[in-house]
Amino acid sequence: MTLLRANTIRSKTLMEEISDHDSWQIWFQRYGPRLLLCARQWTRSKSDAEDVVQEAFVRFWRNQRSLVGRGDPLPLLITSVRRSSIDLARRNSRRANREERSQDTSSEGERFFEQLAKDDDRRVALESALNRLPAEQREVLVLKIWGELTFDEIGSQLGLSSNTVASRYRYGLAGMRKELSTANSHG
Amino acid sequence: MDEDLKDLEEELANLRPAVVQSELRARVARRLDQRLASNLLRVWWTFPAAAALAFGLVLELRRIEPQKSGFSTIASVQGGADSSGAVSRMGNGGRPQVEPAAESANEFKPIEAIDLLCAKSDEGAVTLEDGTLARRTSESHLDTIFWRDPGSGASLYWTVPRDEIRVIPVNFQ
Repeated sequence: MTLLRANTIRSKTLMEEISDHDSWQIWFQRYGPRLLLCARQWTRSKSDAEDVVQEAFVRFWRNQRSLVGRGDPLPLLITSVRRSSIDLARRNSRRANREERSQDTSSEGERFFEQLAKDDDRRVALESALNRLPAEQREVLVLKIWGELTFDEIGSQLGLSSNTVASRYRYGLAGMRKELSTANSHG
Repeated sequence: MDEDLKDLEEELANLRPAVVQSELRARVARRLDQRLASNLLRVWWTFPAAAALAFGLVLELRRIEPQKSGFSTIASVQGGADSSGAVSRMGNGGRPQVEPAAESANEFKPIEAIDLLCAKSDEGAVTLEDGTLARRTSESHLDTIFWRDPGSGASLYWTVPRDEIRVIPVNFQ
């Protein structure tokens, strides 16, 4: 938990450093990977997630950036990503009435995290365990750990109480631990 | 939370999400550049158009009674049901949604409001003027209201920052 808080503080410090900077590339480099990971929780494919991030980021940069000031922009960016994801899902469901579409959740060979310099097998195991979690637990874990949102903020995003969010978070971690220990005992 | 879970949490926090591919960055760059270019092309005629629109809006607002205007409907988003007949309710994702007043003569109608809590802090104990001990908390919100014209399908939204400070009396019973 301390580490997460440290990440948030680092994020805010960086924001203060670049808040006056005019270049969107710095923002995108900093937040793009996390936004893509969050978007992937709400979309069917990687390309959909990229479309959503593009739309959300452009909207944020044009219209909402000044609202954040020196604060942390991630909650607003993630809200924007979620809204774009919902819009896309609505459009897709309309299209699905006309064409048969598979319910794929992850593309073949898709990697959510950077490879580790050493012990990349562990990264693969963690990623695999994360992907096997129920979607509602995985979503909370992603928003908490990589989206750096608080339980209250996640609750606002998902329309849940913070207690429910915290429970899902704990169940998610416990589920991952069980998955990893099972994999260890078999491997 | 037990130590095992904390260790796992830290291990996960050390994983870095995969970098965004340069193709996506290029797409974002194109979209932002397009906007700049099209703004420059559009700007020469937008002023008269905006002036005409504003003039029309002023005429329309004069015609509508204040309690039936969109502004009273916005108030209902923040304050719940009001006398104009607009009702706020919790929609999908816990966001309050608004059923606009049926009598509203405006073309654009508020359809959804999002209250995003951006920051929350407990500022500790304070003593009120009457000597009562209280706790002061501060919250920063971003309120976004979406409007839609059912006729044309056009939509717009605005986002407004809001700070909320609460002083809660402490009861030791």
